Amino acid sequence: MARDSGLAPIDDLVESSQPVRTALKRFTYVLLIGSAVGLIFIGKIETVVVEKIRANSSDITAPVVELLSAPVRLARAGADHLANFANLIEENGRLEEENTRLLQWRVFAKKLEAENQELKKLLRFDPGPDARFISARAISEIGGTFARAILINVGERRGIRTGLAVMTGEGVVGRVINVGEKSARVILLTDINSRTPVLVGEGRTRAILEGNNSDNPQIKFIDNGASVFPGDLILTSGHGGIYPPGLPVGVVAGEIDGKTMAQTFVDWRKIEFVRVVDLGEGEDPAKAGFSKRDG
Amino acid sequence: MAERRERFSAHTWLKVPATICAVWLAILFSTAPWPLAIANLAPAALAHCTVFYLSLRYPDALRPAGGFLVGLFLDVLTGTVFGLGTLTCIAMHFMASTQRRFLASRGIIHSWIGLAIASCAIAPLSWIIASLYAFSFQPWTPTLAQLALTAAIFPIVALITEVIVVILSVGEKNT
Repeated sequence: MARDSGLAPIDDLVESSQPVRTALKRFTYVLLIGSAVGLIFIGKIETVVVEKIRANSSDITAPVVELLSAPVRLARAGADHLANFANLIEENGRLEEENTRLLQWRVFAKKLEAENQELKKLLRFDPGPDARFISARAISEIGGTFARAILINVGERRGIRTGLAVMTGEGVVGRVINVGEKSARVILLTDINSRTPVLVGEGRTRAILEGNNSDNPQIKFIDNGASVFPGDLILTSGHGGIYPPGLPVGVVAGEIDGKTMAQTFVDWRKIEFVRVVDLGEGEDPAKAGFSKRDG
Repeated sequence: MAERRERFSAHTWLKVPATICAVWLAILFSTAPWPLAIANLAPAALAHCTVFYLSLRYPDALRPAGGFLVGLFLDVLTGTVFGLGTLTCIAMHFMASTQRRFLASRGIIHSWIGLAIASCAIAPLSWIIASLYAFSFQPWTPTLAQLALTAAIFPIVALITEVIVVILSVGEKNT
């Protein structure tokens, strides 16, 4: 048998070491599975370290994700434009009607605002600090099977801190849970670990909005068993100090299998731009007012 | 002989990180804001499919440690239980390696069935671990959706992986 003189000993070695290689391969799997289980324990015990690693990795991956997701954003914008174009006449009629209704509301709102200012003066009411809004873009969806979260393209450099509330024009999205230098992770209201104190309906009934990893969170612990009805408005209560009071969340959707579900104002599939609400270091969200513009 | 020489060449070893980087990029791409209800499940589904396919067809391109690194990347990137992605990816790699002799010489349909079986084993495992981790029962519908998505996208992922492997020429096909 003609053999390559340089490789012959290696060939013999490889053939004779086959059982050893099989055993090593098995051992490799055992070692790696053991390491993965170890990582789960580390994730549970060393939460701060894991979050730090995630924040740093987000800073590295965020520009790549932005670049990679550009075609997706472009395609979505194109599809939206096409859909809008197709419904142009219908949309125009609807907007005209809405505009007429809103003009009537504006007159009413101005009257109420003036009345409100007068009453505040009479009571010497302190509205508290103004909120600062930081605009950001949602660059990726980084949840998973058991989590709902998004990554935004602002971080510590723009003054983002853990715990700040995040909104879209429609309503509350969630809160910041992890901050890198140039990016931050936002846990959504729909995440199973999310609990939001809310006020429901005209009676301002206290309740907790609990995420369940679906698009419709559940309303639990309704105060004194008060009745809530489909269509009742849900606002943040400000209790617990995470969310400022009065932020719109959604409406009561109804009961499914004996559970009261909410319909959020935010369309979870169309989160593109968000605003981070900053009340300043150490401010009590319950005392905050909302009068400033984007920062 | 030339085949074996190739196996020991440094060139082949340089291509292993290239495969891992390609999978990482694919996972990053899957986190883009897709307008779909199950978009949050895409990164894990993609990772499982690629790890299974590469382990089955191109074991030299993605060794067990490579599967581990893909899973670790998934854990760092997403907000799910830290270590769970690593565990499921390495389990996927292991299951593909145990079925390799039977499945590698057969067509894509057999591989698809193999992946579905492996996913059926991994889904309850990940649900149990996530529930234990949170000390509460996690909803099972996302787990089922994850399983369905993994099975649904496998042929497309396999096709794209095949094209990428050919472009990178990262390994010999295991038949």
